[in-house]
Amino acid sequence: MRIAICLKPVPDLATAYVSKSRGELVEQSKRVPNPADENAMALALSLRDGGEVAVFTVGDEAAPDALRPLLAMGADRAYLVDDEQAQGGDALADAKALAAAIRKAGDFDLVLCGASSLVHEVGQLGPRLAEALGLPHATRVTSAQVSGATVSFSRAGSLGEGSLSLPAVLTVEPGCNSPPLPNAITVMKAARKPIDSVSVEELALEPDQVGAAGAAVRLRLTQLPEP
Amino acid sequence: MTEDSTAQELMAAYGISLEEETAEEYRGLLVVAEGQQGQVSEASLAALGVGRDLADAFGARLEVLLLGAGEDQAPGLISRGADAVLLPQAPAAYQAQAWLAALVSAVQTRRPEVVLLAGTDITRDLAPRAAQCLDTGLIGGAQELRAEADERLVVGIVPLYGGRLLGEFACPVRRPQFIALAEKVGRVPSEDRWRTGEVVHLPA
Repeated sequence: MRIAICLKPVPDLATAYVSKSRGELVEQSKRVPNPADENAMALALSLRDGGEVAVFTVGDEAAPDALRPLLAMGADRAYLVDDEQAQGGDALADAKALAAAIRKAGDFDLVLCGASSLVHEVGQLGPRLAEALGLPHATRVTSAQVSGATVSFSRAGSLGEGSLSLPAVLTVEPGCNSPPLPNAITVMKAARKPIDSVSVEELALEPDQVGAAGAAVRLRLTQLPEP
Repeated sequence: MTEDSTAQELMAAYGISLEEETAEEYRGLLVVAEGQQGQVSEASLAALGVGRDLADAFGARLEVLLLGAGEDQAPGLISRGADAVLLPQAPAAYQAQAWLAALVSAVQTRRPEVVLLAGTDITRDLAPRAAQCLDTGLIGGAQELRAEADERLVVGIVPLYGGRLLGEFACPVRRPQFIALAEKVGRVPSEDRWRTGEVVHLPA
């Protein structure tokens, strides 16, 4: 099976703190993988049956810090849309960039991402990606099996069990499985796995579709919650 | 149509185009109401209450797209603030593709400036895909909304990093502005039986 994982690099909340004076999060260490994306990676490893697992992300020079742990978990390669024009996008813009990168990298049987992120608790990327790729999708998957050209799954929440024909997009519920921990050997191997840089031009996307220029939703400000 | 067709392909087949329109041509609010066992859910009624407050702030009309329940639910929606109840051709039980096509089609024909949804498993599945199809923004998990009537903008306040911070989000240009509420936001409005409204059967 060829499986694509979409990764969101997120702040390391173990070390970040909220600045009361600035009303924003101050990061103090490297970016880390969004935990639900690690659960997606663990699901991919259980389904890969040989095949290939590739990680895709839109990010800047901080992104490889979050990509290497997934390579250490067992992904074969990564694609990073690090073009400046692709930065600062919202879910609408990022879904277009990621869908284009995934299509360019070839046919995948499954596309997985986290159902939610540490940043916003309600995930949008998975269903958006599915629409951009023209694939069916299911959200909040907790476990899945593939038989022939069908993926069957259980979901958290009220939607229960289901199945879809491949290729399909699944979003994976945080905490539903145990991602493997890296060790010295897997980390060393990960350092040698390729992270390919991808430009907006290579993706045949117009600059106004991606990044800040392509974003529909803007974060106007952040503030502390009322005590 | 294979089962893998996107909403765009479905709409092209039905002759509904997706060309861009300017923000001025989008007016009014659309609240998406879900039925469970034939009854409109409490979460949807609470979203209707939030929507009515926004519509009043904008001086705008509010329509409810009713999925998963029948015409018998319309009077209760009208008495709680809907100016119209839209009944799409869609199965009563959630089917991702059919409900998506119904939502996208309703937006294309009714042209709301805001689409408001409760925060449920179904809307988490449905709303982002509809927003992508319509090339617009979605503010998800909003615990509070604020109307900026002059700009005809809805600002959504969303908890970030597990509630350590609150973010204010807006969708200034693209239309409609999709907003999904966090769970347990708003309360079921009381009924005003003097309110009137229409019931509209949407074409397939």
